Amino acid sequence: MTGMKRLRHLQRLSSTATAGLLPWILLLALGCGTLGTETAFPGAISSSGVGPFRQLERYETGVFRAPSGQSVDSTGLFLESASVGAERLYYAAAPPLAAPPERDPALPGDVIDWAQAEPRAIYRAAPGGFTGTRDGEPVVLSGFGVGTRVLEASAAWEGDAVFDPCAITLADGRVRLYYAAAGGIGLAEASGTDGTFTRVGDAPILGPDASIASGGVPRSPAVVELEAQGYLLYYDAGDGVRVARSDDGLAFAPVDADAATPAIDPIFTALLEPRDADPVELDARMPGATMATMPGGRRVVRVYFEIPRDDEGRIVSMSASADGITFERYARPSFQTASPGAPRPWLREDGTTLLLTRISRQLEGLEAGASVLSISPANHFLADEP
Amino acid sequence: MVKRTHRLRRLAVYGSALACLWLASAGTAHANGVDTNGFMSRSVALGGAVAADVEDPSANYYNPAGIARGEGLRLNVSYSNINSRLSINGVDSHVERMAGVDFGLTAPVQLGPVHFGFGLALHLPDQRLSRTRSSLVERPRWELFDTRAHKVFVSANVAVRLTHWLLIGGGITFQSPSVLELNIRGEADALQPERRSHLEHEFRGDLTSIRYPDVGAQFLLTDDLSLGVTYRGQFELKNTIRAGVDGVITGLGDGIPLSFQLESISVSTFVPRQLAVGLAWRPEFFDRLRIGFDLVWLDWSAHTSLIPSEDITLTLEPPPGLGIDVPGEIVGRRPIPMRMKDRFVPRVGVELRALEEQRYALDLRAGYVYERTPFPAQRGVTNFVDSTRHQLALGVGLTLQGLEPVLRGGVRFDAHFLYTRVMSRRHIKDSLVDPVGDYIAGGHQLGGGVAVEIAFE
Repeated sequence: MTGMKRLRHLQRLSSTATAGLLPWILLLALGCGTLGTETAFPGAISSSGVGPFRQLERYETGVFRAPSGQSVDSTGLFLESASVGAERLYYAAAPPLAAPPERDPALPGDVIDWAQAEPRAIYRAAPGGFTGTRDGEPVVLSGFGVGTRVLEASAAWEGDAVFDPCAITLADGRVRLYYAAAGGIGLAEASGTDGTFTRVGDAPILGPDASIASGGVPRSPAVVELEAQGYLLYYDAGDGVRVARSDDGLAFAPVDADAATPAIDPIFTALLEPRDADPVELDARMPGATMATMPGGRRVVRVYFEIPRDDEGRIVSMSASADGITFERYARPSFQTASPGAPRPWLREDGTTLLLTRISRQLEGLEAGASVLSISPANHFLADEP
Repeated sequence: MVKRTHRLRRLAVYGSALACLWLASAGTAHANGVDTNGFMSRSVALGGAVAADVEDPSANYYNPAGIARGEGLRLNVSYSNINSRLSINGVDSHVERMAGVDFGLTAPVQLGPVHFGFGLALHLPDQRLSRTRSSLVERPRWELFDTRAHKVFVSANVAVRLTHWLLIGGGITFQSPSVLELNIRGEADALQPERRSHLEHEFRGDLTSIRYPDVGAQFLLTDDLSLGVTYRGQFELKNTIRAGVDGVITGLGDGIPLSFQLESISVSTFVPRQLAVGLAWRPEFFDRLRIGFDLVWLDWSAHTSLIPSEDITLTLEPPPGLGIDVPGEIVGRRPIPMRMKDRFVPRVGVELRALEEQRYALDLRAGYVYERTPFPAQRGVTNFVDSTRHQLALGVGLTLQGLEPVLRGGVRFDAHFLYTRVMSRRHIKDSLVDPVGDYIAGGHQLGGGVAVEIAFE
C-alpha cells in the first residue's frame, strides 16, 4: 500500500472508529450524567374529607394572632361557632362585660361562660384580602376581616342571644341564614351576599322536642340541599345529631333515622367502642354539614360533629351518606388538635376541605374561644412559609 | 408442496418435544424495566412484535431462539428514556422517568454442521441499580411505573439451529431479592435522650442472587413467513426486613426493659408468566415490507399480594403510675388479594425498507400495542393505580454497509419515539369514608431512544 493510500486508509479507519465509538461514549455519558436522582414517595391524596386535618399556620390565613390558624381576628370578643357560607364568614360573638361576674365553676374549663359577656349576636365578615405566595405565585389567604353585626336577638322566642349561624345561597342569589336561639332554630333572609337580613316568620322553623329527655331544644343548624330529599337540616337536640327535612327550606319536620322504633331517633345512635386504652366517647353533638361532589361525580353528604370523651377532651369525627339519612362513620378522629369543637366544613374549589372549629383562647383571664381553620389533605399548604 | 408437508410433520414432532421442555422449565422471568418499556430501539419501535423473526441482540429478551438466526457477531448499545405525565384528580403524580442503557450481543458459532448462538443482555437503569420500596396502602401509586421499572436486567442465552427452518433457544436471567436486618441495643434516657443515651446498632443487608431460565423457538414456515413462540414463567422478588430493639429506658426511676421485633416480608416486583406467539411476514410481492403480529398471554391473576406480611412484637412493662398505656397487641398488616385478571396483549409492528443503496439502507418502523389493565378498579383499601394503555411507536434505522475492508459487516443506527396514552379511569370506593376517596387517574407518556449496532460478518 502506498503512503497516500495508507494515509487515506488510516483516515477512513479513524473516522469509522470515531463514528462507531462516539454514540457509545455519548450514551454512557448520558447514562452516567443522570445517576442518583432522589424522588419522594407519592404524596397523600384525599377526596373523601375524612382527614386527618392539620391546623393552618398564621402565614396561611393572614391572621397573625395567637392561636395560629384563626379564621378571623377575634381580639376583644368572645367567639363561639363560626361557619363559611354564601361567600362570607358568619360567627356568633360578643364582647366581655366591663365587670364580668365570677365564672360558673360547673362549666368545663374550655367552655365560654356567656354570663361574663354581652348578649351574643351574629357577625358577617368578608375575606380579609390578605395575600401571600404559593410556589412563588401570589395567592389570597384564607383569613377574614372582622366584619359587622348582621343579626341580634329581638323576637320573644329567641331570648337574649342568637348563635350557631349557617348560611346558604339559593339559586336566585338570596342568602338564607339559619341560626339557633333560646327557643329553637330560626331563619332570616337577605337579598344577596351582603344584604340586610330580615326574619322569616315570627316563630322558630324548628322548635323543641318535648319527647327528648334534655328538653330537646335544637341548636347548631347545618343545612344541605339534595335533589332527592329537598333540604336537610342537621342539628343537635341534646341527645345526638338529628336531621329534619323540608321541601322549601322553610318548614322542617324531624326525620326518624330508625323506623323500627316508635320514637324519632337521631341519625347517630351508636358511638364507637374504644380500642385498648382509648378514651370513651360520651356524645355526638354540634354538627356541621356540607354536600360534596367527588371526582367522578358522586355526591355525598358529609357531617362533622363534636365528640366529647371521658378524658375531658374532644375530637371531631365525620360521617358520610349518599341519601343524607343513613350514614357511615369514619373510625378515626378527623381532627383532635387543641380539643376542638363545633366543626363546620368549608369546601374549596381546589378540592381541599377546610374545617372551622372552636378552640380555647384566653382573653384577660377569661375563656373567650377562637375559630381556627384546619385543612385536609394535611400535606397541602395554602401558602409558602415566609 | 412435498417439502412443505415434510416440514410441517417435523414441526409437529419438534413441537411436542418443545412442549415437554416448557412444562419442565422452572419459573422464569425478566423482572425489570424491560417488561414495561421494551428492550432496544428497533424492537421497541416495532411494538415488541418481533418474537417470530428477531435476530439482533434484543433476541436475548424477545426470543432467545433468534440468537442463532444471524450470521455474524452483533453488538448493540441503546439508550431509552420515558417521561410520564400521569395525574390523579388532576394532581401530577410525579412518576419518575424510566431510563437506562441496554447492552447486548449475539455471537453465532458453527460447530461442525450445527449452528449455535450465544447471547448476553444487560439493562442498566441510569437512576439507580435497584429500587425497593413499599408505600402506605392509603397512598395511590402507579404500580407498574413506581418500583418494577427500576431494576437491573442481566441475561445469558444460548440457541441452536436444529434445521434451516427451526431454531430453539433458552437462557438464564439474574435477579436480586434483598434481606435487610437492623438491630439496636443499649439504654435510652426518656428525659434527655440526646445526652444520656447509649445505643449501638448493627445493620446487615444481603442482595442474594436468583437465576431463572426462559425458552423460545422460531419456525421458518416459508421463505416469507416465520412463527415464533416464547414462554416465561412467573417471577417475584421478595424483600425481607427485620428490625429489633433490645434495651432499657432510663431516666424514669428504675430502668424499664424494652423489646421490639419487626419482620416484614413483601413482594416488591411480580412478573406474570407469559406465553407469546408471533408471526412475521415479508410478502414475496413486496419484500421491502415486514409485518409482525404478536399475541401475548399474561397470567396476571396469579399476582401475589403487594401488601406485606408483618409480625410485630412489643414487650414493655412500665411501672404503675407512669401513665404509659402499652397496647396489648400490635397487629401488623396482612396480605390483601390483588384480584387481577389475565390479559391478552396484541402487538403489531411494521418495517419498511424505504431506501437501499450500495452503501446504506434506511428503514422506517411503526408499532402499536394495546394493553388492557389487569388491575381492578380500586374500590377497597388498596390503591394500586393503573389504566389501559395504547402505545404507538415510530422509528427509523440507518444501516451503513459496504464498509470493507475497514469493517466486514455493517453499522446500524436506530432511533425511536414512543407515545403511550394511559386512559383516564375512575376509581369509586365502596366506602364513603375511605381515607383516599374516589379518584380519577390517567395521563400519557412520552419517550424515545437511540441505538447503535455493529454487525460483523
